[in-house]
Amino acid sequence: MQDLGQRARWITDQLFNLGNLDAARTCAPDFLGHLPDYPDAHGPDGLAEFVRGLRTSFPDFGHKVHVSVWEGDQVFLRSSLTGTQRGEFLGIPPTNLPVLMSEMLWLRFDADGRLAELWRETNPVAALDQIGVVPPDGVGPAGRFGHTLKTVARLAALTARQQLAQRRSA
Amino acid sequence: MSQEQFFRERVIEFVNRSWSVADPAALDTLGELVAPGVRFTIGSRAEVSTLAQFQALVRQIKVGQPDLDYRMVDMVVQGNLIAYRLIVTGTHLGMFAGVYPPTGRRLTLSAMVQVRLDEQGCLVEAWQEGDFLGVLAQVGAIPPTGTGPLGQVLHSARTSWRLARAGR
Repeated sequence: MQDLGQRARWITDQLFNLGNLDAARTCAPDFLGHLPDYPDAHGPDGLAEFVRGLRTSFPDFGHKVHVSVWEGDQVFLRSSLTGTQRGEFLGIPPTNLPVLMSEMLWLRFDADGRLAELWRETNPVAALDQIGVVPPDGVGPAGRFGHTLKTVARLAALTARQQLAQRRSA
Repeated sequence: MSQEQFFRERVIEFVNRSWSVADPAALDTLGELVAPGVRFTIGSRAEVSTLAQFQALVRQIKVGQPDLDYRMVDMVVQGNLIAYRLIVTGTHLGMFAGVYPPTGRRLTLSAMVQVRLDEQGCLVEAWQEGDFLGVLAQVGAIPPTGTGPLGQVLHSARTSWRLARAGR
């Protein structure tokens, strides 16, 4: 029997670390990805689109697997993600700040050993915190409001800078 | 019974005792199923690491959603490592996360958990990630993703105001 634990590590390394979108071609034609904060991914193109989006937000995306649990046709991976936010992420313009997120992936393979289904859970609240969007814990409503006003100004400046850069490169 | 089957049943027992609202006292007996010094790591709740903190978190969630229901969707076992997916649903009738006042909405959290057991089948460590951001959107604490930065921040201002009025 094919070692699906190895297979899961190979495909996630190719996609997330190397940005090799051709690796998405190895998944099943009816592939389905359940990805909170992103639209469901359908087929190899959907998977490639999801990876492209992530690597646009974080071009230096790093994906490290800490633990894998494999039984039958399913593999669980616990991993961590690092990257510098150089593109839009969850509607937030580039902040050029580094983020570190914890992540879990659940992969189901079909009888031909192709990736057929993927579930993902991660912790974007930590990332939003690291790029300064979420108010610090323990501040009252007044502190929250102050944080919000500062964030509005900061994000408006970042958005303007992003638009300027886009116009220059166009 | 194989060791893997034994481990599987221990983990199912842990989940049932944790999340059942029909038998809330079972939560206090989790000590029987974990090793001393068990460590919890929950992505969205950095403050939770001990068993007592985990029990406090579950109690807080049950206050927010008194009709809590949970479903283990899949489980994989390899040696002493076990992972499963969990779907938790409930009606938002109390304070959510101790902060967000009741909306009466139906909340659904999808989560994954990975645990490591010792030879006696006791939990040594547990790691959890869940779609906490999705639930925050369901309670109206943040806008649905894709609203854009301005919508996001305006929403945050409205939420601050709403929480202030709720007496926080």
